[in-house]
Amino acid sequence: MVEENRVILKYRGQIDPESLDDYLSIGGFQALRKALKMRRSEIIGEVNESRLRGRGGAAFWTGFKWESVAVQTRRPKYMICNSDEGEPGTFKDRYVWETVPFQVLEGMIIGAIATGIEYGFVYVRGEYPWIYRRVEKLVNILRDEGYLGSSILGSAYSFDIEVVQGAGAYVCGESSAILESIEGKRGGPRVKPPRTSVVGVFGQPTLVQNVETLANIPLIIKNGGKWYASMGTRSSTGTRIFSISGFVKKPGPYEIELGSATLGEAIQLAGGVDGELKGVIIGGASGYMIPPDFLDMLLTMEDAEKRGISLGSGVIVPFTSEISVVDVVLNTMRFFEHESCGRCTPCRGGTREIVEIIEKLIKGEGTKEHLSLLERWGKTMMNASICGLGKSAPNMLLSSLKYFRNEWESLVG
Amino acid sequence: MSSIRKVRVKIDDLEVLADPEEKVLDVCRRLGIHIPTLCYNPLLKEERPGSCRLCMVAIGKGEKVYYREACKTPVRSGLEVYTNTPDVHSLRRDIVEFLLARHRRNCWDCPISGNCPFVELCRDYDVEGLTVCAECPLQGEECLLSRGEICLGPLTYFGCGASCTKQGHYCFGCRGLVPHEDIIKSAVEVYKSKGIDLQKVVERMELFSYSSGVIEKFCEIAGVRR
Amino acid sequence: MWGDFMKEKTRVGIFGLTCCAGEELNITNLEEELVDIAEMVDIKNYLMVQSNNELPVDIAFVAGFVATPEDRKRLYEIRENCKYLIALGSCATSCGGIHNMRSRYALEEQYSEVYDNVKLEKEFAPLSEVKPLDYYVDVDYYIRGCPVPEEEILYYIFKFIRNPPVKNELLPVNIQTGNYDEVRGMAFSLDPKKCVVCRRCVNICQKHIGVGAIDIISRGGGARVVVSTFFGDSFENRECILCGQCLTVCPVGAYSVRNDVSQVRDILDDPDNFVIALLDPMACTSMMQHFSREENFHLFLRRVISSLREIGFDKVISFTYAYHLSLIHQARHVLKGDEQEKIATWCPAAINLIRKKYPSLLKFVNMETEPLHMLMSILRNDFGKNAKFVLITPCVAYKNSGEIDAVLTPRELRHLLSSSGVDIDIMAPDKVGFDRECLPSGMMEIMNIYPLGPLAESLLSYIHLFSGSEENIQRVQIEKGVEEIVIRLKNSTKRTLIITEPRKMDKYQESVKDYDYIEIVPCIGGCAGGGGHYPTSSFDVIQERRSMIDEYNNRIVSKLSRWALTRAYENILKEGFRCPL
Repeated sequence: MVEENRVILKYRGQIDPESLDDYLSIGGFQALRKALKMRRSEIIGEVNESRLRGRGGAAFWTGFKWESVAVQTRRPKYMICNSDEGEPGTFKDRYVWETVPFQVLEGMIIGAIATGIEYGFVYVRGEYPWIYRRVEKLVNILRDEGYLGSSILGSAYSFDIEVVQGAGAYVCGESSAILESIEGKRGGPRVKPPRTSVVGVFGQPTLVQNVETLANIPLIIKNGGKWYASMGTRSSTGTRIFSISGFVKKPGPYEIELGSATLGEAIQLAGGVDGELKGVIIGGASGYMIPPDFLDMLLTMEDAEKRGISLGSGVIVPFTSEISVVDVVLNTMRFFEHESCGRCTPCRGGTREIVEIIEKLIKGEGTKEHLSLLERWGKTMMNASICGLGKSAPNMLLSSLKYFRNEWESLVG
Repeated sequence: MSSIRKVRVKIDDLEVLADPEEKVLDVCRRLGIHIPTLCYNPLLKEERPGSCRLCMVAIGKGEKVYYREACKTPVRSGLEVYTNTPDVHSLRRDIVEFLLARHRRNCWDCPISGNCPFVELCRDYDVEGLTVCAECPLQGEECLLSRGEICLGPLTYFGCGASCTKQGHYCFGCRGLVPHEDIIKSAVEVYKSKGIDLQKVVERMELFSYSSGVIEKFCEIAGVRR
Repeated sequence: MWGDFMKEKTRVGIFGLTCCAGEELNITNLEEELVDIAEMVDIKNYLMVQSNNELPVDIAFVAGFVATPEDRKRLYEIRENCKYLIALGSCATSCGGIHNMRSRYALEEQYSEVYDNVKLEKEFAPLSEVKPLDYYVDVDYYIRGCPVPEEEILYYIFKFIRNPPVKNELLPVNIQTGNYDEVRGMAFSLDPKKCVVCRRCVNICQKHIGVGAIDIISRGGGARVVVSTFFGDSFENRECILCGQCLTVCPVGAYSVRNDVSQVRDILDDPDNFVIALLDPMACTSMMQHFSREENFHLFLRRVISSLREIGFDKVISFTYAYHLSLIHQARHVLKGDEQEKIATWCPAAINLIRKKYPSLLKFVNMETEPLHMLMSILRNDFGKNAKFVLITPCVAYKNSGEIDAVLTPRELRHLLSSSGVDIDIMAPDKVGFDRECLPSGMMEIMNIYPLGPLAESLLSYIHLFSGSEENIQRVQIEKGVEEIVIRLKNSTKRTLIITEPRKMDKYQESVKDYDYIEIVPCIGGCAGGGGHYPTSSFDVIQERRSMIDEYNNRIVSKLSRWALTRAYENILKEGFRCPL
């Protein structure tokens, strides 16, 4: 029976999350002290060796991202901790803030030192006001104790953090939309080039990282990149906190070593499903709907890619036979229609039109041509949208048409 | 255009030299390769929103193809651009459909009828949903309907350039009537608002389209009989 | 660009079932292009022009409809033996064609009428109702028309050279616009239901004008996201300066000018009214471009004047008089170095900009020198109470002026004329031209000149006369949208600043004290790009309007000798030139 491997969440429940002393007692900020004595290239070298990949959903190589910001000579440079966590079904970032929040902030400070950043933002989604208050509180504590400010622990480095709140837009989780939001503008993506690492918030080089990614950094610096890479597989190192919910008996966050469990085993870890498993939603609303054939898939980025899907932000939502696939897809598309920022035509138009066609199909007024129309429009959205919202909104639709086609076809008779 | 060093790019299998500061759209315009645009404003060239997604082109071929907006993609050495593959065509057609779907089609009263970008877009990308009114520059009080003429412009497929109405003659509906419920509904409304006898409209529709289902639908919506 | 699809060895067939052969004939009308096409593809089957006709073909163009069983058999045969079947013409694409009338009567009746009591063969029975081709076979593309003009056929052939035909798709969804109300305004209104969120107007207003009265609102797919003002408040209540550039750039006609045509018609119809048209020659430029076959601007202007007289205007006066009144006055004050007259007042939108965005600069603006105001004070005095004035201008900001009884943009004028049955192109050019009562005789011709370009240059000619000295003028472009003109006179130097990108005024508002004269031009291309013109996004079109005015000016100036010009200006000075101030 597969077990959790609590690396990030090792001390969950054992410490008072808001107590700096508790955090210090479990070895907190040792990594920071070590990093202050390392050269910048050494810090980035450790992250590179760890082969850590972003945990926000895009799974970009973290070391590479840090390098691309470190080489930017324009000042000031900024870092943003993306705590928008808007993907439906994801709650791992919240969980990290609720158990080991100082670990995230330590990771931010180390990142700032390594890349020459002097100002950072923590962008907390509007729906988490208690997290916002906590992070503000902790940032103030750190500043008082000399971990933030013009001289970190008496060193020559300076770094300070401002905590900002979102206002309920899913699109603001996208890395260029978050910049617009922090600048006080209407949240919506920017067309790239130029990349965020060159022209980011306020026109300056910016590093955007997910909460969970940053929470790994202190452990990597403390124990070494090699140690981290010894867990998981070659392309998917370390652990990931999967948000498992839906029809399982024990929904919650589960930290699993990548490559150590299959999808089915992870579901068993969460208590298994009550009833007959019909399918699994993996990756969130912008994720995929897969049939039970996928239960033997190892939970790694490369295995998912090989089978044509993606782990996304680590959402696993199994469902049983009482669920109508078409209803789920309609719900998902309605969500995206509501959250589309409206900037580009394929997303603004496509979400709405797809919702209309699905509603027609459900009413029984649809035809076979409508199904191919849905596929065509889904493909257009994927190819032509500016940002990840539009590009991945049709994933659920297209995967359900691929794997659960009979349910769709039963609507057109 | 600065530049000592030019870059070689391939556009539709044609090798061209371009300035490294140019974008793909500028190069294509220079060569006379047509790429449709909407949000690109020639009067404000530096501010390119890149948001309409009409100028999408394909980069690369086969498995590795990806799509980018031509107005903001910079040229670089070795770039391979295809501006009119069947996939690009399909993509642009969907964009045109999405744009048209939320745009109020009151062409008979529109300040730019006769000069509307949708006409060219719909014709190039095989979308049907516009009527002759979109191409006819007469609007408001100049519209033939305001003079009591029974013009079938609001019901007829566009594409002829409104050649009859431009000469002052009502439209016969020779290209066929559009079987779209929306168009029939708004046509009925226009006729009613201009005080045109709907029975006479039906008679005129019968000239070219006697056995078309559109007449039935029109009668149903208008409440008249043949 | 020759593509991959239709190339050598692609076999094309052109067929006609029962029809008038209009399409087949039209293709032969292509003449030169047909030779090229015949080299590019292999025309295997074209009964009208060749005797060697074969099947199968790759692409079949089929015109006509199925009238007889032979037609139906032939159609099936063509479908079997081709890859793409293209329905050509109304007979084939819809139940179109005059033959459609056949559906009105029972086929037996028609048959016996035509063939004199011979009985109808039973194979004809299912064909009694006329149907389009797609009733019988799968059609891959529809080319409509009756007949299809040869240019259209050529267009489609070239289109299919690149890619195989993709069947025309009727818009699959019903149009559902959001429920936003129109944003109203005194000068123009915005219909959010037509907005396609292209951001052109927003970018112009924010990045060029620097005002940002409009922006994208709301969030979500469908028709929720549109352009609007702050909570849909009317334009003049917000930051809007009424320059109308949003009207110029909108590609889908979401902005429309307030329509004064019926108001003007009422004014003209009232017999007690003495109606005077103030015609700005710039307004006629876009009229000629978009609505006329005339090519000589001077003639066109004369035709417009006679059209105006025809529909009931009693006098037609050139609006350039107003500009000159203001210019002369401002020239005097610039020479004196007067602080109160530093900022040019001849653009109403620029005055709005100062008033709303840079109110601290209002002390440099003398509102009394506003051109329309100056002209109207003279004219109202001259023509008395029953006089009504109608301004015909490409400037949308004037619509909000209280000084005038009605304002018509070029398009509205055309509406007024054509709905009164007047076709400008066939009106004889007016012999008199503009009426000249109100101003002293010596300077008439000069007052007709349209002051193009930076005001400073027009100012120059007045300064030359008033100061009686030599000058030399130097233009320096400081940055994009900001130009400095230095005029060196015998005893002094005057520095003027011309800002053609109003957003840059943010930077230069502190430097106002360093200049003698400042002019802000919000419209792109000056008045040639005014919001009241027919919308355009082409610099060439705007430039063409300026060239028309240039030509017009040159014509006036060429008729005046240098001596006459100087005499004319001297007369102004001598007669203590009649100025309301």
